[in-house]
Amino acid sequence: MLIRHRLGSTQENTAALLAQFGALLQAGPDVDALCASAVQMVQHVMKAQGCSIMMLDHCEGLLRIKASTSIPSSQWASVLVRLGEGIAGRVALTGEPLHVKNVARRKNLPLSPFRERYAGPSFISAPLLANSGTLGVINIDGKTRGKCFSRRDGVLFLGLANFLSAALIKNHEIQSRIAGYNHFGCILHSVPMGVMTFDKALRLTHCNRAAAEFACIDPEASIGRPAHQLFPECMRARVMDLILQLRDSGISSCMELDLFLNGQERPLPMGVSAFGLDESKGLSAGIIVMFEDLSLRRENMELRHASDSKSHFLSLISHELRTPLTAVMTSLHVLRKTAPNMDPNTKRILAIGDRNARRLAGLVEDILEVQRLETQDTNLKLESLDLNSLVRDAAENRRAAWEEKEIQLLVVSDQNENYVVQADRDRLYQVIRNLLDNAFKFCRINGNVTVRLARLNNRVELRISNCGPMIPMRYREHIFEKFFQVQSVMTRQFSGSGLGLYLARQLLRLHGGDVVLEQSSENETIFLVTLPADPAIEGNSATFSTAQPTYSPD
Amino acid sequence: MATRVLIADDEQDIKDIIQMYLESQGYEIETAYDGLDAVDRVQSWNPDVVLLDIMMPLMDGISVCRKIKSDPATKDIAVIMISAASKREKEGEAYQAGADAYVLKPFEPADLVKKIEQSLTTKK
Repeated sequence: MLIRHRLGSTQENTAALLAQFGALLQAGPDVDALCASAVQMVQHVMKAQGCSIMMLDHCEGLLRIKASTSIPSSQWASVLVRLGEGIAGRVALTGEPLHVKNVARRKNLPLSPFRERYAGPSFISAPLLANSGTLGVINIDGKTRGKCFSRRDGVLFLGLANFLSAALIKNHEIQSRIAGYNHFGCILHSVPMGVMTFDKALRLTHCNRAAAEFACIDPEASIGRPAHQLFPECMRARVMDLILQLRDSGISSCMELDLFLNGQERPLPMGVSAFGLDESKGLSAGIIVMFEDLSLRRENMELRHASDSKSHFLSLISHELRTPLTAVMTSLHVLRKTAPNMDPNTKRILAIGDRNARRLAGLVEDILEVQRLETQDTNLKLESLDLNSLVRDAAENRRAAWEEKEIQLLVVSDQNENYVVQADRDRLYQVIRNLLDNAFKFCRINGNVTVRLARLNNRVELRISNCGPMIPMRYREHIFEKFFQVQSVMTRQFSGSGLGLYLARQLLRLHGGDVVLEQSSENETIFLVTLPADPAIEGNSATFSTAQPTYSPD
Repeated sequence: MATRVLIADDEQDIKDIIQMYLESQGYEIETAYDGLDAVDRVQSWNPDVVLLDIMMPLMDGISVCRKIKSDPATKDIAVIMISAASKREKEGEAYQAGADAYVLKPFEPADLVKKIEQSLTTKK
């Protein structure tokens, strides 16, 4: 391995030496081996007492010894030179070589303890440079027979350092390419899609795990085999059609196959496609064939279809329910208006009919609204709305519900304050109606339901409280889920669709607001609604306040 | 003279109950059982207000409305659309066709009267 040339007196000799040195350095892919042989060669050629290579760790900004002829390898780990410090650190930082003919004659040199211990009286330190920056530093120390390094020695040494840099760069590129290839190969191997590549003679060149499973072959043993020998009977003819069509006419295509593999009862739907590996080179680069298991995709389509039909059915039925509901509600209303002198029992029966018709109408609206939320078909029609009057309207509309349970309903607001929000009237009404119904439903007979309005900076708050059963802490979030009710016992005791709170939250969030369960004890349960106040209207503006004095129906 | 209201709806029960209610409120009522019948009645009877169901056989309510509003002889008649479809689904279409108001089923009869009176005042 060692270079047998002695340093000649002619430039030809030097050039030949450098070329040979360069060729030797290109041999190996291993950086450690490369550096180890480089220090040996350089020391020999330069007739130095020692030669060391330090590599720069860019993350830490530290130089570490990679190879050395003078420092024992047991010491390497303890030699750490910070970038910019010491001789090597300075050379690495500036990218400029440093040639000192006689250490004794140069003062103020930042010599490290190692240098004093291992180095001779004369040294040269040269950077190992790449386009991207400094790779490291190479040093030679002393000179045999106590001589100093001459200017010519310096030129030769820089030439050697350049060759070493080039070798290191090349080596680095090879390493990263290998690493990249391995990395990519690992990914390719583990993807669920089957990938096979063929050369232009249609012999298998690569096969990942999934492709081997689809084609029922041993991937290692099958490399180099022709395509027509690879696929099981059930798919061979059609896959070969695809490959041959690509080879003969250059047309990439794909198809779906239903495969009956290994005696399975249900067919496996599989997508197969074939195309050229490198479009720019035609098919000379080879062919890639991909296999995809389509069963999940098909199932997904079936599920989506089922869900769509369910939604369509619900929407249809809700629309169909509206027409008879209109007839019922209008009939009841007309009956009440046209026959004012009814006996109390008839009146009660009529009220029951009316209340339940309204409840049914509310449920139909809820179902339709959920459908719209799920299909994201919710165009909000925003307008400035006074929450106070909306609450009072809703309370009035539900009069039958709270009167029946002899509930004391109280709506509390400040008549000097405005509660104007930007909202979609129908949707917000639906939210309040649902929250009120909820409060009435869970309130005990002859209990209290209180609605409090408050204005806080840039938002409006609405608290709806009722006395009724406590909602356990662990259900605080669950109650806002679709079709959730706290207990099956409650479900029987308190009928409901399980949509009210879900809808309230979803609709409020669409408005930039929210509803939370603020408090729940044995005595009181409070839901807190927040909505952004209408930015166009200042707080405390009397012109917009339609609030009445504290209002207690009855 | 009483306000003349034409009710066009293929649902007999709805038509009957609205007719009874509006008559009790002092309106004069005629009815039509489908879209084409509604167009005929508008021309022959010349009502002040037409209540149009959107989903009707032979000709849907939106087309009837468009026809009424595009004929100079009938364009001043107030048209109120009544729909079982969701508000958002048909409302825009109804107003584009020239409707004066849009009522969603199920509705409060009193609200309907309010809408009728509103559409008449804006006409005057």
